Amino acid sequence: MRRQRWQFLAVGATVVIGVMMFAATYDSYRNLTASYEQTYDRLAFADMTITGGDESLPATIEAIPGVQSVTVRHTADLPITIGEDTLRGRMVGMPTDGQPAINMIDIETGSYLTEDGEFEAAAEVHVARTFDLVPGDTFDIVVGPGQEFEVVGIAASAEYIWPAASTQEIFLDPNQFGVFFVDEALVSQLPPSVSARETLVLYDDDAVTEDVGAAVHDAATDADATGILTQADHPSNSTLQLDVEGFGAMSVAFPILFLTAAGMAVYVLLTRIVFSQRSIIGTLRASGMSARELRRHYLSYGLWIGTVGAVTGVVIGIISGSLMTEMYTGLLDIPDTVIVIRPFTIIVGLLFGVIAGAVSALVPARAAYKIEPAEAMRGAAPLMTGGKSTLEKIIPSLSKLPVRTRMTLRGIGRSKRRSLSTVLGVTLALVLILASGGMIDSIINMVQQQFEEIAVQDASVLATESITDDLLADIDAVRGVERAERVAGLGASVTSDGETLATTLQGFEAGTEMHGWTNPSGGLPSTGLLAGAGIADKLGVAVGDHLTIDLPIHDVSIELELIEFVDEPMGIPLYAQYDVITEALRAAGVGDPEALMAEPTVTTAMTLFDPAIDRTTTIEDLEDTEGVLAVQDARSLYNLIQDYLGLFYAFTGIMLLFGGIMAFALMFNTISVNIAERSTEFATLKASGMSDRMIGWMIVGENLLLTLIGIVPGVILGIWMADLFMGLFSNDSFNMSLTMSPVTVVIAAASMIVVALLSLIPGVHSVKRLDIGAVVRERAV
Amino acid sequence: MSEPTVVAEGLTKIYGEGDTATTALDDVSFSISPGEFVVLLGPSGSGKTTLLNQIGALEGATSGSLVVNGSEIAGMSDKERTEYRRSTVGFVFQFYNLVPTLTAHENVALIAEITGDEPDARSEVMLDSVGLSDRAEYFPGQMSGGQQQRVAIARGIVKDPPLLLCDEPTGALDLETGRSILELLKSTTQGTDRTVFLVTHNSTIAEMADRVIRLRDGKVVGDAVNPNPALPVELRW
Repeated sequence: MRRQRWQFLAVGATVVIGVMMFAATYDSYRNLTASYEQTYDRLAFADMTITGGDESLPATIEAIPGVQSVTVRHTADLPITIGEDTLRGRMVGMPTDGQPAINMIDIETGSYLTEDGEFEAAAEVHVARTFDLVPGDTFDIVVGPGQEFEVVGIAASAEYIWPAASTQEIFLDPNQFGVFFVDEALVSQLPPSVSARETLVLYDDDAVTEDVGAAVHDAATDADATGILTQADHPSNSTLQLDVEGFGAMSVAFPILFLTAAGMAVYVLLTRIVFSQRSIIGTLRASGMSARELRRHYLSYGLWIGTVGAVTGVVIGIISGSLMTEMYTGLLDIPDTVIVIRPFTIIVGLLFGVIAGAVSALVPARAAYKIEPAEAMRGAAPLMTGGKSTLEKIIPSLSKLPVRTRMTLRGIGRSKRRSLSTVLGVTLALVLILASGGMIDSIINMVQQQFEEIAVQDASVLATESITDDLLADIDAVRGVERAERVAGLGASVTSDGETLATTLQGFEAGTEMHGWTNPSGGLPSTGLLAGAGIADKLGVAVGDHLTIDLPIHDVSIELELIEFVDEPMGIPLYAQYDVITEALRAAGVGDPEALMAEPTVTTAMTLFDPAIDRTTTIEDLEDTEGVLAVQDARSLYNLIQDYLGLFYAFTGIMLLFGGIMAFALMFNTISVNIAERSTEFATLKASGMSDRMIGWMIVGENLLLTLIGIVPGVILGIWMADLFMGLFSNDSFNMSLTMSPVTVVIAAASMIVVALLSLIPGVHSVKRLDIGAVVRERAV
Repeated sequence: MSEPTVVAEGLTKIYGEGDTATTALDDVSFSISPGEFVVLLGPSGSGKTTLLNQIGALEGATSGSLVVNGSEIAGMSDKERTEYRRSTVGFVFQFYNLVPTLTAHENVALIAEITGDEPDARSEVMLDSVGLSDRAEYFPGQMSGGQQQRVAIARGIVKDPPLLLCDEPTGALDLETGRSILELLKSTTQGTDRTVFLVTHNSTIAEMADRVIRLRDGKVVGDAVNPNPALPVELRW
């Protein structure tokens, strides 16, 4: 092993990375799952959250076997100000005589609400961090007469580990949305048009979740609930689970990729060693060494590499997994961090490495003891029968090429297994790189599409009172505003086939310029509504169906025909013309639908800015306009998401590096073996006057050709794998479809060519240093 | 073809340093005329292959001088040695060292390509001259040892080198085949000024030489002209 230490090192590195990635991702997956479970258990995170429904619903649910407890609370989204900033504040009702039985909060600083305190609030950690809130600070609700609240504590909540407002609003600018826990008595007093009643359900620890869940779901549906969310579907949990599932998927995919590559490299290397030691093997066999001892000897090579690689990989992997868990829970403010060293991870990680090494050594070990001693001791290598390359057979004119080019083409078929090893290395590396690159491209495309083609408004203007024509005109007149339109947003739910979708019904003016339309007609219909394509799978509805849309806040249901689907990356939205919704409300019995629609909590003004005018100035001028409560900059959320993308870029960079290492290890090994086997041939050519450069080009040509051959299946499989991953991450909040940029494919392929060239350097260098005189005397082995 | 002379003066080659130093060639001197068939004879370890490697510029000397065709090659750079081998030297090895993925024709043409000659045409002529026209499209794995060595000889002379260096060319062959190879090698000097150096430990083969240089322990212990070289067919070992 010392003689081929670099080759063994390269293989060992691949084993280490494979086992390390398994241990790190598997432990992260299990640790994060355990961390969430501990938080959810400790804070009694609701198994089901039901919005609306009749008054008897809590009692009905309490009677269901398997239900441990049921509580009722109210939530309300209201405009608030913190200092000079205006944002959307979610008020979550909490008892003041102690923590609730369900959905408790973790007080990190300060104290919980007191019975004596009247307008107290515990600020959720994300808004506290964004606005540097500490106990004693205040904020104001600015709707109606207004009310000042005092922050008495900073709290973490299982519901808002990821601070999403709803399943349709996963990404929110923390400067524009914040959660506060306040006296339930205050929130419950707010009118139904503002606050939502929620029934929270917790199951028994030993309950069969599916059965209890189904019963609770049925009860909620029977009670005309407008929103039914399981813990799994809860926007915070479902978003976080995407990452956890990602780790879980990686803990399977990575070992398969890397250990397959390592196994191939061990096989190639050991086959070469056995072949070069034929005469020694023959002598040992002739001296009485048994086949079993011989087999054990060569198996031990594979076992050594596998064991050393596995032990190293497990140690680094467990440490990395712990660090990744801590970093992740710290980054996301997850209240509990569970880090456990699992015997399972150690055992499986070791087994992965040892088995990969042993299995791949089996065939060469078997070949060793099958060698006939007499022939082996003669030192004669089995004569290789030459032949034209496959390419030459397909394209006969290739045989007219210079002889050294033909030599390059035929060199590929010289050892099919070695060539396969190089091709496999390139293919596996590309799968790794393109799977992660494809995810990045898709997310970038999704974000760009959402913010630059679909939701194209520059800002949304919240008014203190209704958006009247005069106010709209004033907004439109602000320098820097090119266009202002009314847009309505109504919290809605649609039920069909026993499934409920909580979403938002948005009403745009006819001919709106605030939205890009992806339906076949390319615009908002004059009757009926458009819906996100995901609604078809979710609710089993089709174009032409008449949907009953519940507007729980307003306690009214309207009916609209589904005209077409839109294909949007985020959420499952509903769209109709402003006037169509108004008329639908009228048809549903609302006396003054115009007034309802004009409420400031329903309708905002969306604006498009003049790009020539400074954006900040335009926003400031808007905020100064009389009647304007707050301006929500659409670009700030876009910028926030771009910041998050930095993590993805780092992840893809790491995958590129690991993929490159894997490909390098395989190629370096096969090239080393290739050159060692042909050293006599190369020395003879050098003796005949062929320059090192010419020989080098022949070797480069062979390897590049194999690399190019590997790129084809690598790209195909890489795109397929990326598509598979994207499908895993699709849910109600995200419609993930693969968009692979050609640039990504080109970069990935080019990186393989660079790796191929790098892996050639030691080999070509060794040809330069060949002791021609000594080598040409050797029998070719 | 230019007229080579090979003149060695005090040629020394030492491998290793200090306690592990081995003197493979020790103050070797001789002078060879063009067209001579020279046998370098000696037991294993006598330095004959080392001397051949020096003449072929496969490695540099430790000290001394080696002039071939007026050019001092003992102190050549790597690039100069490559150019020298390309233009001046052809090799024939004990184990043929053919490229197994190329046909007989292609093995010869490959070397012709290096010198930029018309490779296909030259290869055909050379294979014909060694009696293997009908085996041109055969791969080495499809040929006998003798046939492979013939191809190797064709490869060695396709560049029309002034020097042909042969290292135990019959070592892997039976008597009959070996004699035919020696006959072929001898024929390459006829009508040309090509100088052939042949390394062997077999003193019988030395009987066909024009000149025999005996080596032992790195030194020249004998340098004699053979006034009546035997025909290869007469040799028996």
